[in-house]
Amino acid sequence: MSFAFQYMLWVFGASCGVLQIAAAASGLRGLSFFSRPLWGYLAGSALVIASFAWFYGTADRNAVGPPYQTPQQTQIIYAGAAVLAALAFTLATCSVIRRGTRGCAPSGGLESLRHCTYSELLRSLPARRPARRRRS
Amino acid sequence: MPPDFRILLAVHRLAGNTPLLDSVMRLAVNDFFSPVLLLLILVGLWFSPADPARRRRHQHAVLLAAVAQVIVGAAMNLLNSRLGFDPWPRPFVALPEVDPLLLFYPPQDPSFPSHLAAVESALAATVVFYNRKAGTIMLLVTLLSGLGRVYAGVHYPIDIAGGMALGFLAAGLARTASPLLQPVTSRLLGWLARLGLADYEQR
Repeated sequence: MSFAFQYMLWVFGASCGVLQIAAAASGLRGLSFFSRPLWGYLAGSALVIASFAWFYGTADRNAVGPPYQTPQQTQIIYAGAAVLAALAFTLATCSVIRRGTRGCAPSGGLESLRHCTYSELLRSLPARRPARRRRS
Repeated sequence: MPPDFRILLAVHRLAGNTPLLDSVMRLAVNDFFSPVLLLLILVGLWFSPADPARRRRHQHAVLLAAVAQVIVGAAMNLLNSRLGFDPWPRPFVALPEVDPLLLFYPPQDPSFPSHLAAVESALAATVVFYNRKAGTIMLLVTLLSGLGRVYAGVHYPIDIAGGMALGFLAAGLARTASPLLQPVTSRLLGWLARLGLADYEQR
């Protein structure tokens, strides 16, 4: 497994954990794998700790050599991609787990995820209307 | 050599003597540990707390932190790459008693100012304006990372202080420019809100 992949896997796992903690704190059900916030806090914390333990427990991350001395810009790209992947994974998983829930009325923005899943939110987005032709 | 080399020697002398302290400092000095920790705090801030108005403020802070990063990047590029500003060599080059390989690798970029300290303090200082608690935690992570760098013998304390001063300056500039940037950040947050990934402005 390449270093870049390990790095992204670490950030992905830890981000999934943080998203669960944030979902529990903010009550956004469309972002949470669990119905009870307590489980969100516990599982999220466990996921963050496990990700860090795996990344730092499997190799010496302070070693000399090109894979470890990654330029800051490359690091930002890897980390950003991993966070976005974690967000997409969380939203997709919650949409599957919580499909068919009642009482979804999108209120707009992130707040919609309080009662709706992301797939429900996307379905509620207004479809783009074709531009009207002007009469000549 | 900067005048604070004695402080560096006093701190670095502790390295390699206490395994527990070394383990903590190995994490603190690591290139990935503190930046990822700060990034995770920013991710958490974007999606919490329950109040949409406060969440929106946090989202605004995250965007300003990104602006502060651009300022830090531009300043570092100007200082080190364009002007060739490199006032003193790394401690392990100038001082034979310093061995960076005890905990880390010997970095080759300029010692002053510390790039990592600048990046991290810019993030932390931007967040402090919007969420004092989270910002303080981020500042503590930044300080620990800076201490780790002195402990490992890869930076003088003045390099860390210089980096942090640059980071604070960048955060201050981003904060001052906030009203000017407001149309751009609001529009960006508006687009993301339409996709359900940010909050709308509360009126």
